[in-house]
Amino acid sequence: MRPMSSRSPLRPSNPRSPRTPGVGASGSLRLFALVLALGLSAGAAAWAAPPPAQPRLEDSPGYVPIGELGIFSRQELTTEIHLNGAILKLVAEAARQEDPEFAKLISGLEAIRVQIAPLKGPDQERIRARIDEAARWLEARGWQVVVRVREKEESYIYLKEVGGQIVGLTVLSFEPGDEAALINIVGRLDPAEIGRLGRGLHLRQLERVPQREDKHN
Amino acid sequence: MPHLPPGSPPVRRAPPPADRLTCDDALAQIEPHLDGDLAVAAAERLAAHLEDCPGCAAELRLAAEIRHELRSLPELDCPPHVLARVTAEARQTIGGRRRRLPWRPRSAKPWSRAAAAWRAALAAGVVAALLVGGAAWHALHRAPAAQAEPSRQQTARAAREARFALAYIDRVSRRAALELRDQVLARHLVLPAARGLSRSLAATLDRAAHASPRSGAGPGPAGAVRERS
Repeated sequence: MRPMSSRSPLRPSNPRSPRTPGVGASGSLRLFALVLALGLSAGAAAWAAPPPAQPRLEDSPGYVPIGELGIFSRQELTTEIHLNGAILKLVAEAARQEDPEFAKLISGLEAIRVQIAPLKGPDQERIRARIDEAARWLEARGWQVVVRVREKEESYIYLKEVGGQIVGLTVLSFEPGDEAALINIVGRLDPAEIGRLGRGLHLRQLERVPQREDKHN
Repeated sequence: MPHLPPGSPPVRRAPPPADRLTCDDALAQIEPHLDGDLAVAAAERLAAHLEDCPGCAAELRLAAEIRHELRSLPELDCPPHVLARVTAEARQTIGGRRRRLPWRPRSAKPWSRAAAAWRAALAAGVVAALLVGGAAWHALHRAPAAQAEPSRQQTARAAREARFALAYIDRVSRRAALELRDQVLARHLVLPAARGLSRSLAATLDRAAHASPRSGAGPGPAGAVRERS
């Protein structure tokens, strides 16, 4: 027969006695601490990781890099408008009660960008040439021409379509002795809605609005 | 110094008065002391208490005597026929199949205190990790609030600018339509068609005039149409 073990018989034979901080309790604590440390490490890694990239306006198919086209220099501009998605959402929300059709149109847009410059002196032909280049640039990148009039005055209207949905509108205008304009609208839009809404707006009433300020494009 | 049975660990010198134990603490340390699990400082404190506490000293002597007596007893083995019967019944109960979960130690009982403690610790750690990771992910994917919200004036101005852009587009398209009508359709379609139609009509009238022999205001043959004044 085997002799008794050296451990006191009054203590439980399970070595993980709660009276002394033996292997059981400390082992559980160690495991808890290990898993918590792993979780904290994962959380710290998530914090340190760069946030998921927000969709860039430049990646939208209806976006036109008007700065790269270089039709106008900054000094020439008398009107420059740059409205992005955030401010357009606010505009749509503010107009929802009084003009729901306008709000519905604006809510689908990502950006509205306008550049207008006067045409005076010898620079007119230079600007006309650049507008022609811009028109060819658009056509080379899949923009569909809707209107192309080249008489004394030139007018170009292009649409960008993806999957049956119009995602961009670009207007080039050249009025000798008056002004030239470049307008790029990015986002989901219905040209019929634009025409109908624009018809009700009188440009003369808004003449005082878009005075050029020092804005960042 | 209390008299201890042979084989008990020696009791060391007494610690300073500030470190002395209470009776409850001393009784809780008697068994670990007999097993040799007490640290040196704890053993010294226990010794100091035992010197002044006859009750705890008697408890120590009793525990040591019991330990010695029981250790002297022979350890009983399980008789072979009992072991065989228990094994057979266990196999019959399980159905001849032995299932052991991969995470459970071979010798551990299913609901032993140790296994439960490990599982509780693991579950608590996983929950804590999920909470921390979830909070981090939520903060990470929260919409950035770096830009201040535009004021009402800025929003109103933006609305006017948007309307201006729409109006300008309509102006350009209407101008293009007028150009199309006047310069393209009129010049290249309407006017040529009108001229062509005019020439055809003139030619038809000429042929009709030359083909008819009767013309002028004099009296004609009977049955001829008289011109009325």
